[in-house]
Amino acid sequence: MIGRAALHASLVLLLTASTLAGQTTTRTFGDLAAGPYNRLVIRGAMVIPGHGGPPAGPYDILIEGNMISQMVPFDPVAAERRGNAQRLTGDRIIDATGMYVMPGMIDLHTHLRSNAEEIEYVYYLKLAMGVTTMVNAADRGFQNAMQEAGKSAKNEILAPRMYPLVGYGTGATGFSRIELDSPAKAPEVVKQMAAAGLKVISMDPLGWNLDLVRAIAKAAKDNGMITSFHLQPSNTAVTTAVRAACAGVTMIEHHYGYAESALDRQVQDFGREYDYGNENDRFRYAGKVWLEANRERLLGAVVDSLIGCGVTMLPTRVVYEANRDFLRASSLPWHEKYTHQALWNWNLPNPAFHGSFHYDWTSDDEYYWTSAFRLWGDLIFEFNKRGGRVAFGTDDNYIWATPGFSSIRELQLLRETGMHGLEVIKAATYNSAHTLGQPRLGLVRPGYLADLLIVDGNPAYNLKFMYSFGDLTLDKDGKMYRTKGIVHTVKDGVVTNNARLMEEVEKMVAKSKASVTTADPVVAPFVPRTTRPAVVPNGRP
Amino acid sequence: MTKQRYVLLSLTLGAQFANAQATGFGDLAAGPYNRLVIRNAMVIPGHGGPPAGPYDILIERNVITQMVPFDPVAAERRGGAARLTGDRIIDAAGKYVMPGMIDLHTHVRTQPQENEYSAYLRLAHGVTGIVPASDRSLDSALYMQKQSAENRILAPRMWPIWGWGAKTRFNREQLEDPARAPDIAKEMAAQGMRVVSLGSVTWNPELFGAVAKAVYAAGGITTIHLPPSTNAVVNAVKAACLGATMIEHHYGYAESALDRTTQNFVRSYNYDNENDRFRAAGSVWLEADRSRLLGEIADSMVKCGVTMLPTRVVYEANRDFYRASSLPWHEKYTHQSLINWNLPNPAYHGSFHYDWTSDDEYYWTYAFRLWGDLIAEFNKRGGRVAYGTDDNYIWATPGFSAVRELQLLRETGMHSLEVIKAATYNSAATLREPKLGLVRPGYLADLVIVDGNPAYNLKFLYSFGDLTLDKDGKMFRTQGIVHTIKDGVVMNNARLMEEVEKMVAKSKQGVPPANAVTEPFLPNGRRVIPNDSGSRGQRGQRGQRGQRN
Repeated sequence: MIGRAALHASLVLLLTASTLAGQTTTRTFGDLAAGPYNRLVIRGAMVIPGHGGPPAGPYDILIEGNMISQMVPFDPVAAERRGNAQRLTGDRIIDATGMYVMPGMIDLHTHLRSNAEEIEYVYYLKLAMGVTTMVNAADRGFQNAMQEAGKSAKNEILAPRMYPLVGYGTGATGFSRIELDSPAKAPEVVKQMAAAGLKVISMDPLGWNLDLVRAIAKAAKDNGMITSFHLQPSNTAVTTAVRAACAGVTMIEHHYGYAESALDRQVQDFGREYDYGNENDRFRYAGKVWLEANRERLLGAVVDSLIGCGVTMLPTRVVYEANRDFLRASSLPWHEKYTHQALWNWNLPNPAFHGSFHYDWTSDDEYYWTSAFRLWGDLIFEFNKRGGRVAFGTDDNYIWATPGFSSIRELQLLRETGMHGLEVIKAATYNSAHTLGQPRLGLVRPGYLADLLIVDGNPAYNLKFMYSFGDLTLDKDGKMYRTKGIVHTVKDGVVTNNARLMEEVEKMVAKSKASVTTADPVVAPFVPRTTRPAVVPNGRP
Repeated sequence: MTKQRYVLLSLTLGAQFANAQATGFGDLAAGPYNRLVIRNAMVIPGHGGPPAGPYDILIERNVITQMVPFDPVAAERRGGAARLTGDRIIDAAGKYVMPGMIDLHTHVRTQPQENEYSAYLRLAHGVTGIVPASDRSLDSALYMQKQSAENRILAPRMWPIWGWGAKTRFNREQLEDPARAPDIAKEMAAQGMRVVSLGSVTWNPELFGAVAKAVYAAGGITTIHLPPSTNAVVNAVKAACLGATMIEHHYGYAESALDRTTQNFVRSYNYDNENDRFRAAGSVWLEADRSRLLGEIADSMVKCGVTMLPTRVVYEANRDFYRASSLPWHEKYTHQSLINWNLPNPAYHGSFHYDWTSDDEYYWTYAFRLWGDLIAEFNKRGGRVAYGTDDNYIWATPGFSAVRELQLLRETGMHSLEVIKAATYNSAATLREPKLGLVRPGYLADLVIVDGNPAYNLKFLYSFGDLTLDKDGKMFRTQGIVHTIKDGVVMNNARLMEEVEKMVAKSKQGVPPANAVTEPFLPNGRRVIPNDSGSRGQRGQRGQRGQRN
């Protein structure tokens, strides 16, 4: 155990730019961001620690380089006890009076998609909506993912910390297909993957062979890596969630495999027309299977087994929300201004794209998925209640889940299960840091890395305050106003100016839509014949 | 068996409307006809039975008189039969006919919203009968009721909600005397009363019971929104067993299953603060004893014979404000007056989303669940679930909300055919209208002709239909309810929607797109998507997106 902790600590040092106080080189990214600073002080902030504890403060927070080094409380009791204390000073002072500081969020499953979307589009949205670390599928190739992760680690780009998610065998060389299917070879393969700097192994297609799953999961642990599993319905007759958990998998992604752990048989009642390769079928039945599950067993014995085997739940509810309410997903208010046209095109119903299966999506399908969200939510709630670890991921940049916005919506969808707002924040910070094996991430606390959010308003009062557009609320005089969202995200000591990031996103989106000349099948019925006079309603200075 | 299907039932049932002549509707509608034939339609009867057919349906004036089946078995038995003919033939091949829907709780609101705005939207989405609140005064509502009954206007049939004692000269003391209730009810009935709100008598159980019984005895029905302010006196079980006909909305149920007689109001609670009121109306469901609610409470309500009128759609904004405020039809079809009423504002009723947090949305998500479970349990045990929207309030645009309400009933686990039954047969029975709510000879010709099977996908009832696949696997958009027939008058629904669009465009003239809700989402250079050709019901893509300006 001690050895592993030491290994983690050394990795942290390797991966961060310049950590030693007093030797920091402050970098600027135009007016988008600057940092790290020798001494950055956040003054007067209320603090949500991240481990589930309640807000407290206000505090002055000192960040030296990329590390939180001091937190001085200014609540009346502390102030009275201490007597007059000098406020902390530094190279940069951020007045956070009335604002809340919480740890940066860690999205354990997300996508960068491909080149039609600028990579900065994703990075900026993620940062502006509080994600400072992500496990991203290597959608643009393994080399690209490793290069980007390296650049982020050195703060050469404005992006969350990245831990690419790759298939088993990626980064290892010299193994045949037969060898990759052999449990006995797993220790060697995983060792090479670890040596290539990888942290997270995707187990997705391996459910057909439980011995292999077990061997890889063990090898991953032995090498300081973690495993992440999307239990495909095509293989759940072999590997259910309970079996995956007890085979030692670190985290189970999405909703798959749970209901299948509580059936009255080994296979769900696939309709006779079912074709796994037809995504309309696939997603319809992935919702329907929850109607077949034995509720009592699922929320009892299955939950206990999952906890007993120590697996982490990674729900990523937001990417499935379109399945219970397509109209909602396709008419979210930010699409016009902030959803990239490439993503929009991928979202449009189309049998040829992954995740674009809403071409015959009926009220029954939405009912199946509403029912699935309920029971799945009850499972998450029960798992959390009995001591299981719920982590945070979005799987966004797919199926109408626009990056960034989806991070906040995911919090709401966890809250919807009945988890407390503070537990939800814990899932997104402390729990996800632990799952990822990052002992210096996920808390606001001296000695922890400076991955922080400065939020206009209390996210434990209203999670929607974390949207870039904030939310409507009342001031002390009862007058309505709109909060400003996460004003600054601090990642590895670098302070982003989130309003500016969102402007850059808006520009990229405008460019992406400039050439679109045809109303698509989703919006066509709602385009008025007469358009209101164009105005610049919210022109900024 | 088969012969009975051809029997011509009485024509006298619709006599009171049979002379009504529809004129002056331009290309929006026409009828009634001496003989209107709908050919080749699949039929969803309305009582919960499955689709069957195809049928040729004959409508004489405002009554369905014949339904001739053309399924292979019936056709083989019968041999070659001549198709029915008439003054007008509607080819409904591939389409589904179901009864017109009856919305038992809705609003017409006030000027500057045109009466036609909500009337056309409702008709185009399949609503042929409504119980409107008397938002523009009872006299105005009664006038509209008559206009519609005589087919002088294009609007659903109406049974306005009367307040207790309306159009009588009884004084307050008399109105609050239980012994007087029978006389009062008779006098109201003599003036055409059908639906009476018990809203003014919830504070007094004895009076409540007396009024409920008296109204029913006089041929009417009672409806009640059980306000949290008086649930300590009359909750849902009490209201049901005191004889109320139908309980509107979600109120009073959770309060029937508390561990005390009032909910745990926070110490700052003020009923007249709508933010407080609606927040606590959601969170009360977290206090309810689930097993008691879904057990003895459901049983008591079934036993006392009350009808549930959920109107879920008008509360959906409470569980998901962004959904409600960014529904895709707002720009083209939501009247600016309604948008203005919807915008968060402490001074308007139903505009309380000015401090509506993720916790509030959680309370309401939970409330929808447990309320949905209660509806499903009540339905399962034989209770009658009816249909209403309470729309034209709280982001619930008329018409569209009629279809969304069906989905929200489906969400409880009720089968789609049960949902359609709630909106047709059950609502007609609740309203005591024995010749509405079924597609069947002898019944009044209130029908909708739908492009696609609503039992396959309720969303096919939206005016914009839904995407689906044709037989070759090619995606297309269905055309919604092509025609709504009310009292024999056949609407051209696409044209009604064009009129709505014009009213909405006019209402938005000169109104900047930015308001407290939309402001963050309007691009700095707003994209204009001109669409002069229209896009409704088009297969494939139409309309142009222009240059940024």
